[in-house]
Amino acid sequence: MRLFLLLLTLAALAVSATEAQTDSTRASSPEMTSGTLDSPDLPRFPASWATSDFLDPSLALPDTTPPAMPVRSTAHLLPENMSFMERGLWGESGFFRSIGIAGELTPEARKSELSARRVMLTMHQIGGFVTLGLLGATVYYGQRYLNYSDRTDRSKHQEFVTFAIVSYGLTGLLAVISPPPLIRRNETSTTTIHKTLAWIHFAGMVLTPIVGGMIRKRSGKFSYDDLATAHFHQVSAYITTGVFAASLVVITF
Amino acid sequence: MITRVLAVACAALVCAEAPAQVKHLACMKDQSSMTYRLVHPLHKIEATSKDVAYDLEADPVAHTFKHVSGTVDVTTFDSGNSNRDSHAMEVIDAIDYPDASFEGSGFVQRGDSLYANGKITFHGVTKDVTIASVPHWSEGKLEVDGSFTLSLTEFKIDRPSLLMIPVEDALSFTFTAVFGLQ
Repeated sequence: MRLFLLLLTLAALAVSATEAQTDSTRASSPEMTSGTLDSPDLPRFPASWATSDFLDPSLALPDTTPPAMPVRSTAHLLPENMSFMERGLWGESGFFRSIGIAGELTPEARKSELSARRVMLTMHQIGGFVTLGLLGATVYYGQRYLNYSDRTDRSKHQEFVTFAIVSYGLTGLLAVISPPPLIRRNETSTTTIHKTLAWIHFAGMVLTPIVGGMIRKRSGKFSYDDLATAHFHQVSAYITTGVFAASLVVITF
Repeated sequence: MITRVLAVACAALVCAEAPAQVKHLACMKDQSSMTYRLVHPLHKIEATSKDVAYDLEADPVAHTFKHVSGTVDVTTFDSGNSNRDSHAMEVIDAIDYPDASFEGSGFVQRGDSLYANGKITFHGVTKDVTIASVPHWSEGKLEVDGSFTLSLTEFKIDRPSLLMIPVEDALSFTFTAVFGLQ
């Protein structure tokens, strides 16, 4: 028993001697640091203690730090492939943001913009059907006027021309100024075909009324040149209406 | 003699209680995918994501399963029409809920089919589901093909519409998850 106690005492002494030597080594080593860099009077402790596990974890106070809120990046709020118009109007420093119509680019702001986009594109769809009807009526009365030279048909044709142009302009504007989508890839899809056809019928919608305005009917008859212009106007109107209808139908595929 | 009997008994006990060789199997993302199908009266829409992170704990020897999970970034589904995909992201609030996930830990094997019971979190809503699948164990890899169907309205999603006509309520998924056994 005495031998055991003696061994225990020797072991304890050996351990304390080793620790004292280690501490003196740490005190003279360059890794020694002070409590803070600016307070040399504070007790000094070895830097390695900062990572040691000498503290009893059970004595640690509970961590009351609130969980970090998920940080949502604005990097993917706008698509990479934005058109010139979209970038100018809805880009991070676009026109609508600079004048305050749209807020700063945040997830919340983008959600509002996407809701607005949905409303605008739904109205664009409805406007497309209305415009197609108006274009059909315009073509019908234009054709009647060419066939029968009835002035009533001519005045109805011109009324529908006005309505069709206004409806077309508003419908197109809704799509052009709508906020950009979340995703846009480089691809050929029904939407890209729809947009390509839109460029064609837009050209037709500009050209056809200009040519129509050039037709002059004198003494109730077309001159040779005016008849040629009227035929050009007629063909242009049919093609424009056809392409417009195709751009509407293609979106359903 | 008694010592030998005890030794044999202990050995038998140890062998009987040896834990199954459950391993964490690494997902082979390049061969894994998930596809959803949505039906509109005018046409059917299919969109596929190749960016699905599957995670599986299974015993490749006993062909048993312990735990499975899968997470997909919903913005990675590609239907070939980004305008349509963007519309889909709008209706499922992808800005707020960019991921959909599944956690399953209850498995029932019936013939070749494996049914995984678990929870799907989609559009911020968590629901219990059972996913039917067929595991194909082969040399070096495990391929699991499966399918399940969700209701858009159950997950509080407004059905998207085209030309003012909404899509059907059922949103069907098929998936292929491939895991390496090495």
